Amino acid sequence: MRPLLALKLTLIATTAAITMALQPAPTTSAQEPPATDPTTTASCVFPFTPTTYEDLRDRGLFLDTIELAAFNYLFPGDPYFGLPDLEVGPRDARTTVPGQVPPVLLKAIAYIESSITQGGADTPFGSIGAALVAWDCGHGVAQVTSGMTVPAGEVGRGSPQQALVASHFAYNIARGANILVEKWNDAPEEKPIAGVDTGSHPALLENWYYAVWGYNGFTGPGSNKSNHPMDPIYGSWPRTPYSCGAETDGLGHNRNNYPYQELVLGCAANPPVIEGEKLWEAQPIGLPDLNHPAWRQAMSLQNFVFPYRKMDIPSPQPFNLDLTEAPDPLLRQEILGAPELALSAYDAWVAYAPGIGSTITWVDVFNTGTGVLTYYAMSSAPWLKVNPYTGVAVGADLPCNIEENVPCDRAGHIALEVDTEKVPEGEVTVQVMVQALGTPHQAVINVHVSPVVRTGLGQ
Amino acid sequence: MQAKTTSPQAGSLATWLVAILGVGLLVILLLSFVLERQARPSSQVAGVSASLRIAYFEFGRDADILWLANPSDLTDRKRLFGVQHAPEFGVVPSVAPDGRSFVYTALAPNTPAPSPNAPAGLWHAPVSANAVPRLIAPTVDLLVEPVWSADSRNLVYRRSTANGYVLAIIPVAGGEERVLTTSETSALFPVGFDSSGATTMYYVAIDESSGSRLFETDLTTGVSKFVAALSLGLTRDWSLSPDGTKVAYLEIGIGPDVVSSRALVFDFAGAKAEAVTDRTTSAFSPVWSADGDLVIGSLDETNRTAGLLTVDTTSRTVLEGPARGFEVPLAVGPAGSSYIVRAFENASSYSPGRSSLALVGADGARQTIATGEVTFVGWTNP
Repeated sequence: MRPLLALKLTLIATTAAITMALQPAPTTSAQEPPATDPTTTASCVFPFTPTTYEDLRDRGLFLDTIELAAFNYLFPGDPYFGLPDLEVGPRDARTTVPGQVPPVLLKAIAYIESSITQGGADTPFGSIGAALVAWDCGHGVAQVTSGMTVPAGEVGRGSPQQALVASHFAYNIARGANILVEKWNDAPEEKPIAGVDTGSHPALLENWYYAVWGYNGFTGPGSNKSNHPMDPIYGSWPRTPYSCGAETDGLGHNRNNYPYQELVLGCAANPPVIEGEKLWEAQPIGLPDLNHPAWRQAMSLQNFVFPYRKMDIPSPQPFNLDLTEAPDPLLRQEILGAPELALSAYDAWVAYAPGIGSTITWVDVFNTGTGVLTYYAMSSAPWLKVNPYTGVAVGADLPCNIEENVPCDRAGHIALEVDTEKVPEGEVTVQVMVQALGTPHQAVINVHVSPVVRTGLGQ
Repeated sequence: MQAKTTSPQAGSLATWLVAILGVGLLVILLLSFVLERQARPSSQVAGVSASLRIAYFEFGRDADILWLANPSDLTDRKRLFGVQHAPEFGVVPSVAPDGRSFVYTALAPNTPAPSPNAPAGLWHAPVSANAVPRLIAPTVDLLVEPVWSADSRNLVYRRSTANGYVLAIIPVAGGEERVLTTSETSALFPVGFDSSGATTMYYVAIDESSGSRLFETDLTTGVSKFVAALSLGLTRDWSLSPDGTKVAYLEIGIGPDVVSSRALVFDFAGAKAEAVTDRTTSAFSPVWSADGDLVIGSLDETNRTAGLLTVDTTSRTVLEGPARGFEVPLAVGPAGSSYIVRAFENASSYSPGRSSLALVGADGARQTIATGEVTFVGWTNP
C-alpha cells in the first residue's frame, strides 16, 4: 500500500500545483492593470476582423486621401461615399451648395477618432493586418459606426459597402466625410444651426460646431457620451484648451475633460507632431463663448429638446477659413491605384465526411496591380463556408513592413470549407465569386466538393 | 496567604523590575524627543498633521503617475506607482474619507479607438508605493467620479446601459454589487452618503424637462425619494457637507443679460436652497472644510478680480486671489487653514489658459504643487 499512498500523495500534490498554476494570477503589476476586455461589448457587422492596409507613420497617404475626400474628389456622385450637397442659409430659406468639408476638420476628426489609422493596435505602420474595430463597432480611420453594427448584405453577411468601410482606408475616409455632411444637413429639421448671422456658410470653420458635435452623437447632458459643453460630466471646469500636440505644450491632453467638438477643434488648432513634423498647419477655430448670452443661453438645459430649434447660435468669433488648396484631382488615381485581381487557384477541391468534418482549402487573393484591393467572396451554395469573405490584397507599389524589415504578405487568404450538416450528397461543384470591390474585376473559383469514403476496422 | 509572602529573591527581582522600567521610560522619553524633532518640519502648514500628504496623478498619454507631496515641503515628493490607461484617457480618482486608499476609473490600455463611453474598470488601491490595484467592478462609466461612504467601506458608481443609467453600490473590501437606483431618462450622479454611511445615499438626476433634482435612496429598502428641485437648469460640483445636513452645488445660471455660475446651498432641515454667491461673479467648485465652512472660487471677469470665498454660519470672508488669473478650490486643508486649488493663468473662465495645482495658505501665500496636467486625488494619510 505504501507505493500507492505515495503515488496518491504525489498526484494530489501535482494536482494542487496544476490547479494553482491554472488559477488566474491573483495580482498583476500596478504598471499594467489587467484589462477589462473592451472588445466584447458589441457584435459588429463581420464575425471576423477584415484585413486592411495601414499607412506609414507619417500618415501621408491617409492625409492626402482626406484632402481628396474633403473636396469630394474621391467618389463624387456616389450616394454612400460621395459628398451630398450642403444645405445652407437661414432656417426658413435653405438652399444647397456643392458638398465640401474643410480638410482640417476632417483631419482633426480622423486623429481624434483613430490617430488616423485604419488598422488595429497590432497592425504596425506600413503593413497589412487586422482592421481597427472599436468596442462600439467604430471602423477604421473615421471610426464609422453608423451602418456597421448589423450586416446589411445578403444572407446575413456584411455588404460590399460595409466591407469597403472596414478594409479600405479611402472608402472609410470618404464615408466619414459623407457622414459629417449628413450631420451638417440634419439642421434645421433635426439639429440646430451654427452661424445664423452668417447664413451658416460652410466655409466658416466655426459654423461646423454642431455638425462636428453630431459626428460623435448629438447627445446631451449627463450621458456618458455627452458632448454638451456645459455638462457636469466633465469633471474639470473651466478647462484649458485641448491640444493634440506635444504633452509639454501647456495645453490639455486628457480627453476626459472635453466634449467631442472641443477635442476636434482643439486638435485642428494644435496638431499632432509625428517624428518632429506637424501633421498639418495649426488652424485656429473659435469656440462659442459660453460667457456670452448669445451662445451660452442656446446651450441651456431646457433648450436641449428635439429639434433643438432654440439652440441656433451665431458664428463663434472670430471667424476662420480653412485655406487648404484643393489637391490635384489626379492624386485620386495615384492613391486608389489600379487594382488587378488574381487568385492562386481557380479550381479548388474540398472533401468531407458526412456529419464529421471537412477539409479546408485555402485560396490566395493577389493584387497584381497597384493600390489596395478589397475582395469580396460569395459562394453559390450556402453550405460552402468562405472565410474570411472580405479583406485586402495590396499592390507592390505600397510600402509594406519596411520598418520591421520582414517579408510582407500582400495577399488575402480565403478558406473554403463545407458545412457537413447541410451539404447535399454526392460530388458537386459550386462556384465562389470573388469581386474586387470598386473595380469591374471579378473571378470565379470552381469548388469541387466530394464526400470521403471511410474505411477502417469493421468495414 | 502566599500573596503576602516575600523572600529575599523576590525583593531583588522587584528592584530589577523597577530599574528596567525606569530605563525603559527614559528611552521612550528620549525617543519621543527625537521623533518629535524629526516630525516637525521647518515650515509646516498650520494645523496640518505631519503625516498627511497631497496626492495627485500626473497625467501621461499612456499612464498616469501617482505622486504624494508633503504639504510642509512641496519639494518633498514621492512617486508611488503608475497606472496604464487607454491613450489620452486619464484615470478618474476618488479618495477614501480615511485617506488610506482610493479608487479610480480607467479605460483599459488596449481599448481600441477609446472614447469616454467605452466601458471602464473601477479599481481600488492603497496609498502606498508599488501598490497593486484591484479591479472592483467592470464596465462602469469612466467620467462619473465614484462616491465613498463616510466609513470608507462602500462605494457608489455609475454604469450606463442601453436602458439608461444605473447607480450601484459595492463593498470596497469585496462583495456583490447591488443596484441602488436606475433611470431610463435622467442622467444620475452620485453625491454622497449620510454621515453614518449606513442609511441614505444622495444623488442628482438631470434631464431636459425637470432640470436638476436631488433624490435620496434608502440603502436598506432601495426605495428612492425626491428631495428637492435644485435648479431648472444644469448644476454641477455637488458636495455634501461633513455633517450631511447640506448640499452645496453650482448652478449654471442664464439671465437675459448676464450669464454666470453661482453657488447655492441646499439645507435639508429647511428644505430649500439659497444662493451664496450672486450673478455678478462666476463661482467655481464649492468644497467643504472638515468643520463645515464652505469655500468657493470666485471670479469677476469684468473687473478681473478673483478670490476664495469662505462662508460659515455667521460670516463671509474672502481670500484675495492671485495677481494673475483665478483659482478653483479642490479641497480644504484638514485644519481649514489651507486650500488646494487649480490655478489658472488668465482671468477668464472662457479662456482660462494654462493651469497648475497649488497650495494656498491662510495668509494668501501660494506655492505650486505641480504644473502641467495633473488630476488631484485628495488629502491622504498613507
